[in-house]
Amino acid sequence: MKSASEVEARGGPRRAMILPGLFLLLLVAFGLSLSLGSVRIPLSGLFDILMGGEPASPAWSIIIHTIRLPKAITGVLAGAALAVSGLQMQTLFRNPLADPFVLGISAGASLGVAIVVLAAGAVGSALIAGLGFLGDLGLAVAAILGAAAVLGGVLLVSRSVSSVMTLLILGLMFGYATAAFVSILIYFSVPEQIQSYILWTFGSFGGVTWRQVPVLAGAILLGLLLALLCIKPLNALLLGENYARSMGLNVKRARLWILVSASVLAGATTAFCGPIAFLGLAVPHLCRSLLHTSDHRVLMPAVICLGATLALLSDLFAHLPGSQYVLPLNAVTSLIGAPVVIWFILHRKNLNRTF
Amino acid sequence: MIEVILTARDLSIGYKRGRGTPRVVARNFDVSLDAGDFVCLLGPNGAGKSTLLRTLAGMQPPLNGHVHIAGRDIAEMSATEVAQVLSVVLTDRVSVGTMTVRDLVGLGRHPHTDWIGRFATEDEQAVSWAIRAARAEDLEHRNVAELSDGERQRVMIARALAQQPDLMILDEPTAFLDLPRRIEIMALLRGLAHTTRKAILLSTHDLDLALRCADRIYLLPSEGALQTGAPEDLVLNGAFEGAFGSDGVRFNADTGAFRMTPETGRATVALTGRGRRAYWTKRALERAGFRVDDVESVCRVDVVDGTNGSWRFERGESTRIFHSIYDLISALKVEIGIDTAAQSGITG
Repeated sequence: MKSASEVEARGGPRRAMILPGLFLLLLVAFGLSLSLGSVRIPLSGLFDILMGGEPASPAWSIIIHTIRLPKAITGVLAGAALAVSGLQMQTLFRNPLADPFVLGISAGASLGVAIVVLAAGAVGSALIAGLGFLGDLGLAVAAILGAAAVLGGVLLVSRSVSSVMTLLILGLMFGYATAAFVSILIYFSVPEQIQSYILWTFGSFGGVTWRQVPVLAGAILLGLLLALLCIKPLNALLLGENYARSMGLNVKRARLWILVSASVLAGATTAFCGPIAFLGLAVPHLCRSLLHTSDHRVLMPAVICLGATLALLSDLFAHLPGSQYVLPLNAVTSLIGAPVVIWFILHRKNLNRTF
Repeated sequence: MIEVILTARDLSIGYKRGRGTPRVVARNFDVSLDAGDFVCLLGPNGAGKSTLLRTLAGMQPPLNGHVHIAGRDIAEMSATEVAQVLSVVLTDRVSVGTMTVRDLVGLGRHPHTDWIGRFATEDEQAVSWAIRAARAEDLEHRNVAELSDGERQRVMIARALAQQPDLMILDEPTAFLDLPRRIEIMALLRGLAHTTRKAILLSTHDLDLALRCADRIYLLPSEGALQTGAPEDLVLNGAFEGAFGSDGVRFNADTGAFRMTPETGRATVALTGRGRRAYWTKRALERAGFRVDDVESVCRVDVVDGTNGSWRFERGESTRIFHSIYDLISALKVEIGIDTAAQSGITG
């Protein structure tokens, strides 16, 4: 963003320090997530591998290239996408509890996955398990279709609904209905199928292969580009729809693009990584609180950096470095994230002022 | 030369209700606003003040007629073009979260900035000017959430000014404010209209304040046509009494103020005394529903001057002394209230 220097100058030295600081933090987290895991790879080795040199152990090269690099890139993309999507939803709905999934995007994706895993399980769970790569992509495709169906429904409704509050409630209802479908599917499934569905709901950055990374990256970069175009409308919407309209904003069109952007971001992430909770809700709050502003020109780069950082760190914790165990990613984001946010908000005593 | 900012000819305003006949709020009237005009829109609740403002601001189409701003039909201008010549202050409660006053005022630059909302030097200057013009300099770096209602209204006016419009339309900017703050806001707006040559139109329920400071009044009665003119014109031609008078309220054209019709049924009290103390005693007696006269009456109140002035109440043979108006009125209500009832019982 070219305006970054102007924005920082307006926000004073504090804001000028925080944005580069968040970026630096992201670089550190990226390095750590490559270096740490069940096998610890020292920084020198990491550097050799990334520069195309020969590391001390050839196994390191394989670990980095086939496992940790795609996983770290996925983490960065997913974290940034969820945080931006959450920020957009919170501003659009003027609701501090809004997150990327309020409109039922994740519910739609999970229905898609549930249909593939559970209903298609009639053919035999062994088939799904044996599909390997194709099975993984199959899940992603199913999730994308599910998310896209919900997105299409929401966009269709949003054209005729005048109040965002109505839209929010419709989205919630849609989520409940979808969840009900999923539980019916689960009820009629065998334990093995249920387990593979539940594994998907745990969320993971590790399931994305090199061949899938460009698809995910393309979708998320598209969403972020749209988000960039939505910065100015989002700022106008801070004053409410009537004021935004009085300042020349086409509110319905702006709302449509914000929904498209947020849904592409959340939908693509959910399709490839599962429904990752918490990041989309918490990161915007943390950034508002850190930067003392609601200005999206500042918040947008901030949530991208912090979202990506927290996604990488959560994944790092989930892999319990030095051990062979892996915890569910969703459990980590919420278990570690919730107390952090609670402490942060209580400590700053500005819960009502952050939004 | 007078520069005309807004004109509307043969305007009818109201709501379209589905396929049924539209609800017409006011029909076939003309309005115009000149540069430097400070105009107050008055009218009883439900007369359609907001509808008129929304129509003039282009936020709602007129049922008939056209609104022209700076010579162009508002219906044919893009939303951004309208926003560059017209800004509004609404009654909507704004909660922008964490944001300094300067940032909030800066949001008013929306129609002037590029696709990402980048600020050029002239945008920064416009924001600084708007904050100074609204006399909000001391609030500039405060958090919006910490402002009082009066300060907040000042900031919303600054935001509207930052839009650099020719015309500002404000919907009840003095609602929810205490009296000194209302006078401040009205004085601020009148000063802005006169010094910056912007046209300012606002709706208000503060009749007294509007009568004292508006260059022109738009009076919108519940039923009937919009009337415009200098405040004094509308007082003299009886338009005020017609628009607002009702059972409980009387408009006094001599003083330009509304008064409650006094409660009736209480006795006449003769009041003697002069000066400020007597004036307020008379007001108190009238408020309590007594008729005050200086002719002979069964009941007499003498205002006794002195350092700790007192009130002497005589009725027939008995005399009582009171040291506050409150005590006097309380006693009178009891004694005379019962007395008149008893008398009417005897004579009737």
